[in-house]
Amino acid sequence: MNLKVCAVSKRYDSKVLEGISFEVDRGVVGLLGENGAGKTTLMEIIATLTKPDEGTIEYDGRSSAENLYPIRRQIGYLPQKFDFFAKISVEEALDYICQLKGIFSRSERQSEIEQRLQQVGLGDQRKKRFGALSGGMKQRVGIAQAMIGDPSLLLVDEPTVGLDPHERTAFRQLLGQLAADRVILLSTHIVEDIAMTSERLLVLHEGRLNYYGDLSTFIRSVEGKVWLYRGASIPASLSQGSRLMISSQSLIEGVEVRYLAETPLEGSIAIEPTLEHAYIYANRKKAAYE
Amino acid sequence: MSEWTLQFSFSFRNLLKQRGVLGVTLLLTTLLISMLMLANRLDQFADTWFGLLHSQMILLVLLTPILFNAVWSGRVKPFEFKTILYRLRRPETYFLSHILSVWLVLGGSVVVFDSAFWLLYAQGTDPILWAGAMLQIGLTVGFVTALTAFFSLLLRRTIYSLLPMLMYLFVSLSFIPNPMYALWFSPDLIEQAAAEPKWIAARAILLVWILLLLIISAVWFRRRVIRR
Repeated sequence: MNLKVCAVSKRYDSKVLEGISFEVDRGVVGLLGENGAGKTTLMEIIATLTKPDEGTIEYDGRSSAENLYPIRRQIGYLPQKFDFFAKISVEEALDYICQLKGIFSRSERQSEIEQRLQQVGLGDQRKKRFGALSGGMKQRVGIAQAMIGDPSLLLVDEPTVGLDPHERTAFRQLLGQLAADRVILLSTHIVEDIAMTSERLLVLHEGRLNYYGDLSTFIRSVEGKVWLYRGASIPASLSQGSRLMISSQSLIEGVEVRYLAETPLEGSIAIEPTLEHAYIYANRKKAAYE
Repeated sequence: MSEWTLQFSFSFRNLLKQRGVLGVTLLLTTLLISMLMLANRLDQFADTWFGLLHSQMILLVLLTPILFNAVWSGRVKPFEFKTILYRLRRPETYFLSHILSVWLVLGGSVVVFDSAFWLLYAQGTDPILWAGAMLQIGLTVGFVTALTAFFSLLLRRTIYSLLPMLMYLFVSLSFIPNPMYALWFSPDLIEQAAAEPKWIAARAILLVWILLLLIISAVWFRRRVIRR
């Protein structure tokens, strides 16, 4: 699917999104931003749950205003903190979602449910009541329901919250497999999830688009700006000017500090930047401009 | 499969899963009440029959909001909005299906139980008493359910609808002898009038109120969940 977002703005009590534009036709796009940056609102607008105040969204050249339900059929949506009726079993829940998505033939439903349960590793939990599942399992049911009907646009909002490290790795692998022939928009504040799954990145900061492009270009933008300092104590000059401390660690002989700066402290060495460094740098730079 | 069929079958299944509250409601309104009536050993079967009907209706007025609360809390939860209503062209079918399934399960169970009770104990009593009671059960349970649903939208919590229902019941028992407006009646009135065709016809006006409440609730629910 070709997804084209043009100058989308949304306001509730205050401005939540302002002039967001981007276009994608395949692969995983990581949507990164701090809490309250507008990630969920953008996801809800793309999912057609909320109308934008300004701007348009095209799905394969079609607008949701004229083709709302055909477009919704092509969207798989995992909302934040997925939940369902406590007394309904996993299998019954997925069967209901199948029918909501227009899959009515019993044999098609059975094969769809089987496939999705295997993909999320819940084959042996199918008879369990939703309310009796662990947080991670509930999230996996959410992922399964989003994938029902093989949607060409998959929107996943904070999908790895509540998953243990093993489940998180499995989910990242699953996203990689699914991304081959569809667009996946992955919203998260966990930088590692995006670093391991996405080819492209969209960074939001206070409702504005801070970066949209490929991951490697974004990371390269902070080359020569990430530094490691080792000394007896954290120097007072580190908190002055445009320097920003990322992490510090106490050592036997002093401290080790990683920081972002255009000009390093004396004795610092440049280190390889990561996505997290680039993300912190990008959002700090934007804040400094305002 | 239409949205109506799908929603109704799911609401029905979800209601049957509420085994605790559904079991207590049905046990109280059928088996326990009938045993109590039989234990009283009234001389006339008609007295037992009206006693049973009267107790059942008062209990149902109080228990329907509790049962309805088990399937609809009064607020659209985020998952209902983002996973279910999102896929429906007519989201009001979701809400109306809850109302209809509660009406059908409660009304249907009491009708079946009371009919069996009639067959076992009536012994030549005029069948008009049976027919009148069945009509009363169907209409009153429907009216109580539709009213509960309406109050759940108004008060945004289904369980809060218990209070206006209690007040309406008290006012009906004490001051409203009119079958077109009362939720239920005093025992004397029921015994005198329940078998009169004119009175039964007037009670049938409840169907109009039920229909009106369903239409208002459907429009209200739709307005609440439509995307903004």
